[in-house]
Amino acid sequence: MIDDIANYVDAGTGSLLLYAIAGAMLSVVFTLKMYWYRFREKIANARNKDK
Amino acid sequence: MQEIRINDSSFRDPNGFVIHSKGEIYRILNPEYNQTYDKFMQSGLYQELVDEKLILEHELEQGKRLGKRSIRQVKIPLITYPYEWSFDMLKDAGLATLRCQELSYKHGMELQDASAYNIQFYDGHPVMIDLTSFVDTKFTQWRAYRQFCEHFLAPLALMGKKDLRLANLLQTYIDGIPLDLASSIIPKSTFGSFGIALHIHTHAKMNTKKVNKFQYSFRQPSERKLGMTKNLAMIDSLKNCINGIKCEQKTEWDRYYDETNYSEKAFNSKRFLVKQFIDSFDPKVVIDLGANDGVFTEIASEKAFTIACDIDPNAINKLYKKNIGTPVVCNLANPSSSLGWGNKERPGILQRIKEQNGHVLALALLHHLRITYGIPFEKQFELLASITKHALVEYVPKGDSQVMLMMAGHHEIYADYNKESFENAMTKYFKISEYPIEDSMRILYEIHV
Repeated sequence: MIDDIANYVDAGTGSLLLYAIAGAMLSVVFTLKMYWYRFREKIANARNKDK
Repeated sequence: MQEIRINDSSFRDPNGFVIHSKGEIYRILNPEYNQTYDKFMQSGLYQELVDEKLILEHELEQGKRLGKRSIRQVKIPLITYPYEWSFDMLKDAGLATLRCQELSYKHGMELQDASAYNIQFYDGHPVMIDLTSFVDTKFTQWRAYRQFCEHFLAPLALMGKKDLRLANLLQTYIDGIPLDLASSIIPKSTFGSFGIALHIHTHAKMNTKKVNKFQYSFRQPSERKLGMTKNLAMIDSLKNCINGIKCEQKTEWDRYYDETNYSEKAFNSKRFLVKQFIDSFDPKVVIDLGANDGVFTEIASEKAFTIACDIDPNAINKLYKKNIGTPVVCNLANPSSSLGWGNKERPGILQRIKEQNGHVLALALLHHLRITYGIPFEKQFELLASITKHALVEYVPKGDSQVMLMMAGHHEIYADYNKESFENAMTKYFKISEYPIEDSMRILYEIHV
């Protein structure tokens, strides 16, 4: 890996902080969303099997 | 001619650079990137990106170029820039960038940058062309988060939530529209949209000098290991935000061809003459200036690679949606100029069009340039001669109802607006052949240098 990469894009101090905070909060919703999708997929699969 | 030329816009990336050689495009990999490139290829990420048409297949060369590994990339027929894209083109380019990032995470990699210039349109869809953007990830914050917001989210929000014409800001801010500027322009009602409130308004506030100073006073900014879920959650949020921005503004050119004064016979005659022009010269590239709804671009597309230019972003958007030609938003009276470092980084549109050596269609266009923009016919043909050797142009006489409307009774101002002046201006640069459109006062001219 190239060390220069760290400086290739100016990430912005505030952006890094916002990303960390928002990422932590949004991950809760995102995880629930993923579980919901999986649940719906299982139901759909079960229905298809019944048919 | 020089055998190898380094691309004028390829000097920022520490991982490699692009060269042109004998009409081909090669990406040279710096030795430090070799291991990362091998991971990119072997992890399955490359294949997945190719399968989803997010990148084009490339070929690793057996030997070395300039003493380094190199890959031969597919040449994009016409390079276009974000300020020449329509709303949906920019939106799809943003979504393609996020999808690349999403897939990269799944293979332990990420995009080191999120520049809109890394995306080009090939065969009607966006592709990531900067392969050395893919690097190893430590699942810390995505360093390109702010860049993504400035390059994609801010212009989309400005276009969708305020005014489509604000896309022109991308020409001034070629490295992305500052978030504080975007935040101050878009309506306050956008605070009600979670994505825009977070990624633009709050993001802008987080990067003010005052806030940064406050953060530094506590500790140095650091990259924290967040893990994959938090990163994917952010990508998902950005995707939702982009998908939530719509653009339903009308422009003055919407439904232009529905409102023209052509009879069916006249329109068919014009179609026939355009087809005859294309068939008799069998051009490889056709550039349709003032393409509007693309009806003539479509005819040319049957035989040639086509570029559809129009001033109207909505017309270009429709062409993009219908996958007609390579659409480019371009105001001929003020075409995008050479921008960036040394004025060489992003060449102007006329230079890129000229390099195509194509045949030009300029139909129902020149009277607009004369009357609306005040550009004399001679200047118009001087410009045409600088970009093409062969063209089909349309003369719309003063008696035409559209021209009468445009002149709005001020006929005396346009004393030079007549067939004779038009032909005199043309013959200064071209040899001409006249083809009247049946059941119409309009005339097509085939012109050749």
